Amino acid sequence: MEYLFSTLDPAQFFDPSSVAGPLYVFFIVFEILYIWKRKRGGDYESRDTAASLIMGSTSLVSRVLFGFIGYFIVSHIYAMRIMDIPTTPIMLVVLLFVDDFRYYWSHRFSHRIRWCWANHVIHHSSQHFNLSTALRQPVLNSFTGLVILYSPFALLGVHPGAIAFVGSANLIYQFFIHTETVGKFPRWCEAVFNTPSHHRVHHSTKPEHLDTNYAGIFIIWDRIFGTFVQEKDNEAMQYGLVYNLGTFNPLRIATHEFVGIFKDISQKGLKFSQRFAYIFAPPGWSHDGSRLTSLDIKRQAQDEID
Amino acid sequence: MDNLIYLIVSGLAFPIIMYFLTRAVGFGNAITFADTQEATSLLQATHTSSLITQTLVASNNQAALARFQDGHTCILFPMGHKWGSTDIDHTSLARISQSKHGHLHLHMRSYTLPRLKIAIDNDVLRQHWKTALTFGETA
Ligand SMILES: [Zn+2]
Ligand SMILES: [Zn+2]
Repeated sequence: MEYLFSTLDPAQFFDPSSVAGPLYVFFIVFEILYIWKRKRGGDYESRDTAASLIMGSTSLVSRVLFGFIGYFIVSHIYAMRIMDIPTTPIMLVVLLFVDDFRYYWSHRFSHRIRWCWANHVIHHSSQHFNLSTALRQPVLNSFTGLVILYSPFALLGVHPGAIAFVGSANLIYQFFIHTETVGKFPRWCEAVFNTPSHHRVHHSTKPEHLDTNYAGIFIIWDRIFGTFVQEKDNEAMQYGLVYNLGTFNPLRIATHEFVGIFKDISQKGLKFSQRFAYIFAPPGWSHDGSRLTSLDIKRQAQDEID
Repeated sequence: MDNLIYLIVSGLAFPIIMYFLTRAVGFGNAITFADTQEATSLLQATHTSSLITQTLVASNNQAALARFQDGHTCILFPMGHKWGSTDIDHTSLARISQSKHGHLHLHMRSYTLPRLKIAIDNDVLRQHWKTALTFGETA
């Protein structure tokens, strides 16, 4: 009991994701063999899997190369902290919960601001949903600006090492919810936690599923803020993007939305506000109304039902 | 630095091994349609508001092209185990090249769909495809 309140030194923490590699390998091989043997539980496609895993490695390399940017910003805010919150085991559990609230909003902004979507879209670019999809991670995380959402923690005196630790734990948890091999968990579990069922909905391209279930570990944030959608029993899913990519080339996957932004803002005859909107408005916004945002798509689908 | 090199080497080795593992257990095959009728219904689903007037299929049943009454032209192509489709007009293709087996390679201007391979095993079919892809200009 005493241990729960004993002070730890976050500077000494190991990065959980640094030991997660072998775990990921094991479970991905296991899932491939399971689907192959049982002929159910999802699908793997060779080039899709290779692309996802290359994106995963690239994301890690980018974290090594550019991770210091976020750490630099958070450390500077931490230097201006108004109080000190000592790092204890119990504090880490609370932080894991509170940081998940931060993750919910970070993820929601990643879907609703095109600049952030250009980075996050990588994660949604596979038409498959399996453990390898979890590793299809963005490579320009350090440049979205969403690191600013960590500032309340740093200002309140949470050590940047503790923030990084729970952030990594959150990502490891999310690896396991990218699977079709399991159905639904008991009701209490589905009510509180983000599960494969909830995350399948998040990756689905059905109009009613777009921009829903943003949760990291706890699905309660979606239930509170009105973005929760329940997967129906035995619901057939299609994963990916509303307009899917026609390439497995990792470079094109990683950059296509940034290229799209660049093409849009370099059109002739636009007002400054229109160029600004092409970068920061929701994905699908266009100055002449020729494209559809996720809200337009939902509205259209609803009109067809009515 | 050593860490970075380790990361890059293992980060490349792992995807390559998984690529071959998934191929070895049969997850490397591309999707195919059974016949022209199936290709037509897959293409019709991309434009429900207009009827198809002509369907061309590739010799390996992995790509098809449809012309619609309203003037649209749409190509169906495999993305691994899933179908992809794209509308094309006279600005979509940068050029068409031909492999030594006679297959057509479409070099697209789209950043997200740079290339399409259309397997073709006879001259008549090739000419039909070329005519459709160039909107009659080389017919
Ligand atoms: Zn997302
Ligand atoms: Zn995901």
